[in-house]
Amino acid sequence: MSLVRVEGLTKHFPVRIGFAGRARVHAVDGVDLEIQEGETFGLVGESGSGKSTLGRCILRLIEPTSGRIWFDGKDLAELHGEELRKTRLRLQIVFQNPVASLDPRMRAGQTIAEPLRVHRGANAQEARAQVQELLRRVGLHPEVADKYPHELSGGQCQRIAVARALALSPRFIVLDEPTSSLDVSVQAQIVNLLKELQAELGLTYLFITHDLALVSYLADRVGVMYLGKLMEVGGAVEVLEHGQHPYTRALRNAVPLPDPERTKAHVPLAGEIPSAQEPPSGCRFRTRCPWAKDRCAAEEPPLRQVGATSVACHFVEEITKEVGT
Amino acid sequence: MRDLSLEFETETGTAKVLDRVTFTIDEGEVFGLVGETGCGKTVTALTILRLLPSNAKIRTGHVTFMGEELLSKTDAEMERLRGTKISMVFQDPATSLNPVFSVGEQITRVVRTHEDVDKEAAEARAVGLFERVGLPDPETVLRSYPHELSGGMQQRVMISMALACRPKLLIADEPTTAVDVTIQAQILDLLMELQREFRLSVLLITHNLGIVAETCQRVGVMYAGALAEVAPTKDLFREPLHPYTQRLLKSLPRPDARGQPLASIPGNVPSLVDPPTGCRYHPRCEFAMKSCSVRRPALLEHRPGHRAACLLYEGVTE
Repeated sequence: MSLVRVEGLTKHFPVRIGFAGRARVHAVDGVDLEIQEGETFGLVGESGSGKSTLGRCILRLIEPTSGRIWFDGKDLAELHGEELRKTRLRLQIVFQNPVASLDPRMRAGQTIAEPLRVHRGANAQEARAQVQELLRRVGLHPEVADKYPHELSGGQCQRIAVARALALSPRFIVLDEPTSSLDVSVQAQIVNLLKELQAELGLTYLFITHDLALVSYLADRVGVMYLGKLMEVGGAVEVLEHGQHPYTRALRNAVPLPDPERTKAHVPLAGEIPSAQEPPSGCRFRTRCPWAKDRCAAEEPPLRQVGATSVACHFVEEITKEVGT
Repeated sequence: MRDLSLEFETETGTAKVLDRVTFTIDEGEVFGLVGETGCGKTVTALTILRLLPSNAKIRTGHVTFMGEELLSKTDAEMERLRGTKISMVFQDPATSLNPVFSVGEQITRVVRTHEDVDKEAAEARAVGLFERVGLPDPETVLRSYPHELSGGMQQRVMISMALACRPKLLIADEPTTAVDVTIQAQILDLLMELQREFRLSVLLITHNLGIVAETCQRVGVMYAGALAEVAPTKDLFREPLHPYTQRLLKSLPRPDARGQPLASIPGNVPSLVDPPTGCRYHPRCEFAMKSCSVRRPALLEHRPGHRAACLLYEGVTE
């Protein structure tokens, strides 16, 4: 069953240009997405692709311009007051930079206890007991509760952020680049912790990252975003190792692999990501796509099932026939 | 670089930032220096260029470049060397370019500081370089200010500036960390093309083992200010000797490791003010023996061209 379902989600940010000019940044444009209970859905894309905006819209940390979001069968936009507040406790987020996402003037224990006090009305003693339990769960020593963020390492801070997210027993957690500011050996610790917690507590994750190797290791399904649109969606292995969309192919090709003996057909993608203020007509990837034709500028390709994945490309069958997967 | 030890005076004490660092870079070679945050990679680069902060003290060691000792050169001599014989590309191009001058002014200044040429000749050279590094419409770029260029274009400008006076050694410090992966592939391809064309020696500093695998002939792995291992790239990935390198390689997420926990390294990087005695890695090492906390391992050659600093290979058993 899908725990989270997103339909036609769109977020345009208004921006000012100069004195009187106005424009809209098309951060997310008509995205449909389903996340199954208990799975890790990986959302990959480069900076400016809209992946973080999408994650925040699902939690309604950013109000979407249009589109609908269902959580556990309930339309989040239709919930108000007490019911919205209660439902929201089930959705949590862990941010990219653990040191910046913790209040520098709060001890780690206070940070974790705050949601318990606010939402559960826990008194100091109850909160303390739960904080100890949460610290143990994320693999930290109980005495860390008395430390300030600046006294802790990046990895420890990220464990605190995870403990805070867990405090209210969520079902769904948006993990927004949770390891990208950490070194690989520490990243491995946090990734292992997240996997353990998922198995233990039956959590559902939306894992946002630009790291394809990481997502291929831990995600069940993957969506590839480019300029506010999903280009390809499917099983993690299918998308990341045999993905058919020209952009998925380009990403896969661009990632340097830790294997010096691999000989790779290296054709780097030309050009840069266009402005999201005036995205290209038709297919948004066409300005950098080596296979682009006239139709790509005229007509926007919808996501459609092609083989093992859903792909938004008019010519994907021909490309796959030409170069394989 | 031979036996280089260096300390920083800090408020909390003396940080032993580099500990007897020894390595060589051959002519025309791409040498990678990898390690995690704070292991001393960038300080190593700044030592070669003698651009260290004023609280840095070099305790021992030598840096030799084309047969000449750099540490005994005067400031003026170093000034002449930087940019002409050794140049550097920094991590974040947006902050390494001066925001109030056009990039044309910045690159022509580099050329005219070191060579007796007029403005027109310097600009012509800049345009030629911009073309070579794949900047579209070089004449327009020349008049642009850094904020008008994308991160990828800024890094191409930085590379042009670094190569403007035909250096022998290019130090690239995390040159692609600030850009996206498709732009990273473009920049790395460009650097490698230029390296072959100009027969450059390159010191490539990175934390990304994938980049090392694709670009470097040899590589040094640093941990807490000391070199753990130096080896030809293929040998390092095929048969890493140092326990730190072994763990580091295993901690990389790979699709074929799905379902298994990643190898991580327990604990944290030690403080350099009070580094562990003996081998600096021993408190986190799965093979640590009694001697490891007492005896500092030397960086010895255990396979042809493959050096590692670990007592396991020195016949120590306890």
